[in-house]
Amino acid sequence: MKKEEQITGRQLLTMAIMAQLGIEVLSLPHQLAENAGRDTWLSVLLSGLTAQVGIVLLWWLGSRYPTRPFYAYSSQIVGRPLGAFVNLAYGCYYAFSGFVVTALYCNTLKRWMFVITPDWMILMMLLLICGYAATSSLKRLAFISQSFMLFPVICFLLIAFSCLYGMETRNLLPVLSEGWTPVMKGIYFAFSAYVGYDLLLYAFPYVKGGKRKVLGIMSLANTCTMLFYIVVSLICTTMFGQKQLLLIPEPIVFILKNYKVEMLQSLDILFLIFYVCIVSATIYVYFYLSAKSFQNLSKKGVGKQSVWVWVIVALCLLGSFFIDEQHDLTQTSSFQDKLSILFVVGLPLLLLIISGIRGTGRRSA
Amino acid sequence: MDSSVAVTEKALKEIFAEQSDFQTQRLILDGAEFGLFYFDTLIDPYQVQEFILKPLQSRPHEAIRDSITIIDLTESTDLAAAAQAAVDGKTLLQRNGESLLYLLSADLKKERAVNIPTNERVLRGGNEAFIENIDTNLNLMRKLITSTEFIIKTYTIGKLSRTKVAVMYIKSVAQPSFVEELDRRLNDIDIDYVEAPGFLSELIHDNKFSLFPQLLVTERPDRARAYLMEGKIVIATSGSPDALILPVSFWAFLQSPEDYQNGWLLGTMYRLLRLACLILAIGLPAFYVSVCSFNPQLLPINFVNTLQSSLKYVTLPPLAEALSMMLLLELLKEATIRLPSPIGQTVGVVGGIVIGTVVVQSNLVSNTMVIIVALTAVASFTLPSYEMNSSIRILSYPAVVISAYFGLYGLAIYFMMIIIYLCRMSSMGIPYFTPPFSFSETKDTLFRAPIENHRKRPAETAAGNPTRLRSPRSWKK
Repeated sequence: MKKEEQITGRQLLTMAIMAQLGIEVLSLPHQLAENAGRDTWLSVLLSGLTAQVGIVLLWWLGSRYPTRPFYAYSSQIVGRPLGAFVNLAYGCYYAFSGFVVTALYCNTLKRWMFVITPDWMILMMLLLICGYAATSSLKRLAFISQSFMLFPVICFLLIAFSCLYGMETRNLLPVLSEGWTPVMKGIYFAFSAYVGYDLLLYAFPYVKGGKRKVLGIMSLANTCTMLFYIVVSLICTTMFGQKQLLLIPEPIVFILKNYKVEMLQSLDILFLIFYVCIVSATIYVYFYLSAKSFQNLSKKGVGKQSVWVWVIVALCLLGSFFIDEQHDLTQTSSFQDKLSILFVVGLPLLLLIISGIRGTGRRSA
Repeated sequence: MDSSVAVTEKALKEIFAEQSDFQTQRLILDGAEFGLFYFDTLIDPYQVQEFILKPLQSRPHEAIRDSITIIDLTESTDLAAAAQAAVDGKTLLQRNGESLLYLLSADLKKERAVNIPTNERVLRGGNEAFIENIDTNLNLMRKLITSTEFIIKTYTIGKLSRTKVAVMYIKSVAQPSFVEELDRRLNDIDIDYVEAPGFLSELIHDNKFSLFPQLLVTERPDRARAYLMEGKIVIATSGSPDALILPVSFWAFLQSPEDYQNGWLLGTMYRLLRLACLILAIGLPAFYVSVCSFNPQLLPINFVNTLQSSLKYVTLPPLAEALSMMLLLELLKEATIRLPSPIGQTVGVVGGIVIGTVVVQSNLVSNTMVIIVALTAVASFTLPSYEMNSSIRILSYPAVVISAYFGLYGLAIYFMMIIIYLCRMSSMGIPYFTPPFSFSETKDTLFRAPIENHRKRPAETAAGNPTRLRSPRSWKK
């Protein structure tokens, strides 16, 4: 396998933010309104802090093996056959996650704009473009993410400034009206929006600068994402009543409809379309990670990265034909939420414990 | 190599048996016998008479090195090499009894005068342009950079044409690895002749299938100098008034020498304008087509009404409308380049007024489309590099097609594809497109920061010697 080029701290920051931000921004306030109600923002905040703990966890694991990516040392922790199995599982998980994000975005797009366009057409274009990006190296992916970074900034500003059109801060009160239980439940749902920081598992050894710097950058990235989500949820909660939020699946789009610009009538359409940049940044990172983990099935490397990526893309395209209805999609995505907790928090924690007990890594690294 | 003039003459005549412009002369001056061999189409008779024959006549018995007053004087004992030198324009001289040939440079130099640049005009800045004679070009460059660090290396490329190619760089700034890599690539070229800059750039660039230009072509010595100072390498070729600059990034194609003459605020403004034009040139017709055919709700109702009224009687669908107008524009552009200038103006009138007006009046194409296409064309021509603006215009065709079928979503995907493609490209091992992310990266790419802020040379091309200026404007203290 070719050796990966190093990326700078800034590049890691962008990649992490772009990987974390995804389709969830659109639906987060709606999803959380069912659970956390008025205290959505609190759930989002606490969930972000949980993600921060997760980052420290991954960082801890990574810093035990500072010269190699996760897929290379996984078999050192649990042994060769089991390690290959772990890599295989991660590969499948990332491919599946990439697929779910693609399907969710295309579904949103279809509902809002392309009502009669066949699903697979929209999906295929997005998959192809993400596959094309995913065949490049980590450094080039970072370049791509940096180029697309403009869009989250614009989106954030658009969303933040929409509060000019009147908001009702009293909607936030009373805080913790129903105690901590709904907030805690909300943390679980909000957590899926933070997933993506697991990029650290792979990228850790390729970042320029020391271990501490990596942790600092990841925390900064997480904080930025957290800020983004908190602003989104605050604005949605203040601009809509709770009953409305329960009915509106994508409140952000409605908020943008509010903008009255002389030249453009519907900003929301432009937003939804150019949101593809943000979504694709998540998808290609997933595809890339998936291809990398498949490649690392054996020590020498199995197959070429590009071949794996196109296989994954083809499978995703095939898979899309089996998910026709809204109902299927919701189920799949909630399944993916559970999976992601297992793969992003559960497995790394387990591996860290095993690695601690067996005491591998420290010396050999 | 024989010491007798008669034998040498015979040998050379055998080599050049079919050449009617090869001349041999045997002179007997005060008892000493000389042989003079040359191509009369290549030499300057005045120089030969004045600096070779006259000194020989007056001091025939002195050593040739002492009597001949020509500075470029070499000796050769190899007849084949001497024959090649004769083809290169040298006059060969032999004294009977010495078994060596003197190669004297008295060749005829026909060149046009150094002119003002025709393709890269600026309002402020130098008005010298390279010409076809490489020696003159190198002279221009040497005069612009009078430093011992400025290196010119020459290569001979082309088995038959034996074209002189000069590679220029600044030793303390340029990355040695680039110079070595370029040396390797140039030495590997095995071809009968080179057409510069086209052949040369195609033979040394990295991505064969790339639509984007990877080497910057310039006819301005001052521009070449500016890039040399950043650690880049300039290649000049004999017979071509264009120099190649490498390795360059995407942003170099948005830079114009004038940006540095006009003050940084203006420079920045024009830079941003060019970037905007680049995006317009790729996407404007496509945006229009997708708004017309898919998303009219994007625009306010008054706007849509205006659009509708202009589209009302138009027979062609927006896609065909856009494509035909864009093609028409490209035809006009191509025709005006080829035609002699008086006819070119006629074509301009025919194209601009007759076609433009009539096409609209006959309801083949809408008014708005004409405006859009004209705007696109003008926008594309604001880019200082001809190569870049052509590629940009080519890129706008697929954009129109894809947005006619997939609307704005297709256009967004298309733009993403271009960005991904750019991000993946490399030129001589350095990334072709680096997104301007930190302030230091935007200084000379997106913006043109004040000179005093350009303290570092670009990190990719001048890694070894990054400091450009230490304390500019220190008089302020």
